[in-house]
Amino acid sequence: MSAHRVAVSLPRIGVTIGHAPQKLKTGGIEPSRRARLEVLRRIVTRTVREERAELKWNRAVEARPYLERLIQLGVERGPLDEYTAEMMEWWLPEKDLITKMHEVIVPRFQDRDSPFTSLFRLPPQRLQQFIQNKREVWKRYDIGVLEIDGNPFPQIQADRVDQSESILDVLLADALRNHQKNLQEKLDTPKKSQ
Amino acid sequence: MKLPVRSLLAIRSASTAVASAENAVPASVPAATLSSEFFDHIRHQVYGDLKKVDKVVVSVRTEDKAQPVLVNRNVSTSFHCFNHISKHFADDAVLVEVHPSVGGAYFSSVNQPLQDQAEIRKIGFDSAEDVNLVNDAYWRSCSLVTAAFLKEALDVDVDFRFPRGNIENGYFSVDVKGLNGNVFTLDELNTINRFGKSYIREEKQFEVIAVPTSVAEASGIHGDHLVRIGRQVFSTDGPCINSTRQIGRFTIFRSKSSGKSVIVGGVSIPMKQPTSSYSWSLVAKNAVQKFSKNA
Repeated sequence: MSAHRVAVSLPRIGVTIGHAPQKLKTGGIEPSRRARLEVLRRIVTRTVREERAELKWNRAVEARPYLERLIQLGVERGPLDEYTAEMMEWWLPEKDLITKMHEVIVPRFQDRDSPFTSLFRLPPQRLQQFIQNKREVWKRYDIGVLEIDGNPFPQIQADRVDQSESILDVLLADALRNHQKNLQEKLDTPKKSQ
Repeated sequence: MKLPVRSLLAIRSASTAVASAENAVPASVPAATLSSEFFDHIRHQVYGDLKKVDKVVVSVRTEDKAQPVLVNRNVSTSFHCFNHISKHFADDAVLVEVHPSVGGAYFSSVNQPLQDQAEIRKIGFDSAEDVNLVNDAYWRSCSLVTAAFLKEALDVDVDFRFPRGNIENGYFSVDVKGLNGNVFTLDELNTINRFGKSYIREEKQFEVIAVPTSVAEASGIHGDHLVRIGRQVFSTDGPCINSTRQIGRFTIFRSKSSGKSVIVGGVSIPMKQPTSSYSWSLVAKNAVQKFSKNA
């Protein structure tokens, strides 16, 4: 009940929440709600520690709202809030990450609204799914990169530079313009049968 | 009469080439015969004895700092300075902006020797500034490369003029004198294109000399730069790119008769600006149409 009261007072997070929760499986735990939370907790912990995590797309999409909410709790309610402390302790089992969250990550977003994270899609990748006896089974997975904004790494997407005066753009723009002009002339020209 | 295909790829027995500038020749000084030996002679005249080594400090300006490099005066070029940074940094350089310790700043080719202590800045195809200079240099270089491999491919003694063109025209052109108005057939163009592409893949350097006005007038050179590509030498009025390695897609699409000379038209895209086959076909088709309309 306290979680619902806290959630109502918080602004809405600015990322998409999947309408179909994924069945997230992990080794050693039967697929269940608890197992799903364990997977998400590990992803959130890893992302807070590394600030950029490359993982399967469905897991990245599923974990992103939880990471957003966790950062939002730190920004909106601060470290002294009882509910925030409880959530930090649960989602970040490694205690030094709680310190990092409050002293490094949360101050970045004090004057900023959600979203606090970014999600990028990488090309599909063929990963080893499991090994059965001596047989390896591989499968293609969509890969995503989940990162906390303001991280010290080079940006994934380069800034868009205006290349309108480059040789290729000048030639291609002129070619397309003339191509369009020729098509228009063909349309305006009456047909021979008429 | 059409030129036979067999004669197109015959290599000239003479190793030198003759080229003339686009401007009219003054009556007082005859036009110079541009050859590789003449190029070496002018280089010796401008830069002095290559055996004498003087050191000079050149500062290479990158994005965040200026790195000093100790190089040889009148021997080392900006390319050698950029190589001290990294090979990729040097290979991506198209032009260079030189701020000498004495005198005003100017733009030069990467392969032009440095004459004094200076600060240099690399200009590439992806530079937001000086885009027009890069485009003009690339277009000029494509014309020179076309003249160079045509000189080596054709069996007859030909001269070249370079009509002033820009990238907005959609094509570059070379005026070939000595073919008596005989244009190339489609088969001959295909052969020329194959030879030209193999020539470009050899990664020939554009050796450039900035010729002072006094030397140019005394030697009969019409232009302020001498450029050597392989064994072919031409005079031009501006800087050139680093090497033929920077030339990407390239084609000579058509030739047309203009009196007794033949104007050869082509189009090219830099290696650093890749594009799809469909886009390239649009660009080439547009170039053909514009070249034909200007007949």
